[in-house]
Amino acid sequence: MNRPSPAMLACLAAALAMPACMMSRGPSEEHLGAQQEWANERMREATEMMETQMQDMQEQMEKAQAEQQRPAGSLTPEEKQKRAEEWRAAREQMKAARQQDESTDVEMRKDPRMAKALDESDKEHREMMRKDPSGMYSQFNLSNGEEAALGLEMVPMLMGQQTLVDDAGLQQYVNKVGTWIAQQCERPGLPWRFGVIDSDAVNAFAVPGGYVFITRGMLVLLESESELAGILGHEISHVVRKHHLRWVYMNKEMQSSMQRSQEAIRKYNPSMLPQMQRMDQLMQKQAAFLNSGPMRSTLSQSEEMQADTDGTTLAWRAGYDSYGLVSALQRFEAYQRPRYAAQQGGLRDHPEPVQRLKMLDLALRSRADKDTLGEGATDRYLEATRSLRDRRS
Amino acid sequence: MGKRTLPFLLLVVLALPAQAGESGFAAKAVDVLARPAPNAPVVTRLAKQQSLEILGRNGNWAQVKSGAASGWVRLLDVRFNAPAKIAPAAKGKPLFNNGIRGFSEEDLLAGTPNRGELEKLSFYSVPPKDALGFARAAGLKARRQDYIEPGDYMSMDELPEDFFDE
Repeated sequence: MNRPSPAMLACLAAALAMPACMMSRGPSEEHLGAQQEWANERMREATEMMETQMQDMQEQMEKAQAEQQRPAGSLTPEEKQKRAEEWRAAREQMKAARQQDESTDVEMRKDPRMAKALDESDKEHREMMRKDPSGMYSQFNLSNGEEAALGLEMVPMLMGQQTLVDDAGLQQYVNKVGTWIAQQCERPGLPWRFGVIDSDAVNAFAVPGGYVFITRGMLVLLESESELAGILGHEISHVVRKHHLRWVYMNKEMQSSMQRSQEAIRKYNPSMLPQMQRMDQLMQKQAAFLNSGPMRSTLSQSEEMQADTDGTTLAWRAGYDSYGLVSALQRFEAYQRPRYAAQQGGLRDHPEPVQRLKMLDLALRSRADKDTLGEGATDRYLEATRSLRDRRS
Repeated sequence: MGKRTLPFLLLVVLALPAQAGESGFAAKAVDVLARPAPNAPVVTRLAKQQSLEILGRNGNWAQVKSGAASGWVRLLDVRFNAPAKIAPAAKGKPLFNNGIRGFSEEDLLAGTPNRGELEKLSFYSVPPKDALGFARAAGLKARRQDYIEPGDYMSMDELPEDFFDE
């Protein structure tokens, strides 16, 4: 999104408050007053701008979300046509933007020095991403130990009253498969732990630091080790790409920048404080909106898709069939279909399962067939999870 | 072995082949091919929603049977029927999302954190060397491959027209 972030606006406001202090030795009181007045005016403008932006954003997102909630089948022909037209317009726009990018690149590369510099920076970026695919090497530097400690704090809260399935053989089987896959990722050194939670719900989730959970319900739904590998690969990818940490980081960054501005204002321009507090309230509101509202789910969709494609790659690196995850998602889609149709009112945190499947299929088809094939290991999986299936029947 | 268990076991054994073929339907009108290859001869054509049995999978291909005809279709062109064996979760929070919000709010906040389970989690974990041993015994070999980046397979302007139709 090409809007100035609230954190940036706050920094701007703080910066605007600065000249008053820096000049306080020289100019007269009136001059200082005028300076402060001017800074206050800018602050007011920034607050108003932010308010309007937030309202717009919220309205737009809510509208888009409500629109998306409705399954294609329930649309009238006119609505369907409208949606198709919007889609086509968006495609055209993106195409134009991409062409613009490409022609800029061509233009820039006409200068051989520039071309060389671009190549070098591309190479450097690729190298960095290879070491840390999260791309967060410079932003949020937690050591593995610190991250694991953070995760360790979160795990008991998340598990709450849930317990692990009391079956050492099963737990160790899932740990062996998971740890083997985790050895193929960019962070093999994390203390990887896999747990089967004793729940009928069909679910899997990851926690920073290398904790991955899968429910008994999910294990019963799956039918082969390659499907399990796909799901575990997906969850491992969230940890590798630090998807959760990104959110922790964003909140922290916002809070600390807010704090910095407030300190500066308190020190140099206290007359601005009421405005600042108003801004603070707005930002907290916006942070809450970003974290829990429609925005949150939109942002996490791209993370889900990334984890899907990364997960298939990790499973393949570990010797499994890449299409295990596609197959698992197909089972998940079937399981979720009846619930999904009923669940129109609530917020969605993941892309529509069918679209997610199609996207993953599209991604995998960019690979040669031989680079997707591998072990399915159906028999070993059914044997290892037999106790769960027996329990159900 | 008691007299009662034998018929039960027989029943289980007899039930297995039925389990092997899972029921589903065609996601769209699709050709069933003789082999799992795009240029293989067409055996028959299925209508959208036509029910079928899924016999197996080979990478991106599913082996299906519909009526008397059987052959191969792309995995993505079949949908499984909703499984009856798992009771739907009682709580209506989204499932399978990217993590910390995996369970419903009530679960997240319910009761005291369970430290004992955390100890079990460590107890069940396996060191990498054991995982490597498992892989060796299972015949799994590590292979090198880069991640698929979005630029490798799509830009939004190239998505198929019918992408959001279903």
